[in-house]
Amino acid sequence: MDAASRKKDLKFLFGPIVDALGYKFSPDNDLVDFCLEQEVKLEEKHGVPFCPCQALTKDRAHNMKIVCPCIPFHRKHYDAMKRCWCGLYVHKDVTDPDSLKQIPASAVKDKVGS
Amino acid sequence: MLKKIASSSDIAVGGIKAFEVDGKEVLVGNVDGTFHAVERRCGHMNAPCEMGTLRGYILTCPMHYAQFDMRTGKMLKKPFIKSEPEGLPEKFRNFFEHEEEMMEKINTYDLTKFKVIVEGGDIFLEL
Repeated sequence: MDAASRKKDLKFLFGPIVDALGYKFSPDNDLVDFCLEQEVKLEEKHGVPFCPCQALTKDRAHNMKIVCPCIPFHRKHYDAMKRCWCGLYVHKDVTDPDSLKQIPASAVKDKVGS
Repeated sequence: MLKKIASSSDIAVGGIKAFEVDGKEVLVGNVDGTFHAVERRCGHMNAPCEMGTLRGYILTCPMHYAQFDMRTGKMLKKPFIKSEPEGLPEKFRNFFEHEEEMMEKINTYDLTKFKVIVEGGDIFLEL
């Protein structure tokens, strides 16, 4: 078991899931590679590929909502940004991921009213 | 020695099925139309892997979610053994903590692979 092959496995497993959610892997291959590498490390440490860009807490319910791909648990927030928090996944129509910015969840809540 | 175990129509693409052949427990999976066979019991704690899932080539054990490559039997991911029970009485929490400690000492091994031959719509296993 090495990091490179595990990254490939995670990509293989997550691809169809995010596809059904209207997302795809970012066209920025370096970013995808970097995020997946961090997930492999988190999986090695915790047994679960948590989101590498969100902090783990002592609250298990919270932590389970940031297991990659965490799109279903943050749908409105991510849809407003057209990307997930890391930028690992973007909406299917996105071709220039650098144009997408992170927006805090609180700001999105005000915008979409939820 | 070749042993006929099933018809190729018995296992759909993405399907897995367990067999007992000459005292050996074998799991046969259909990975994108190609049949592969590995030992049935998980290399971690002997769980019956046919109760898990096969997505593409990735076989996931139902017990602690260890993952194996159905094509080679190689372990892809170690088991997830942290149970983190919540809302349980203390004596149960103690039990789980003890169990977790024990499980950390258990190694996970690759699954033995068996040769599969498909001929005339039948699946044969070489033991």
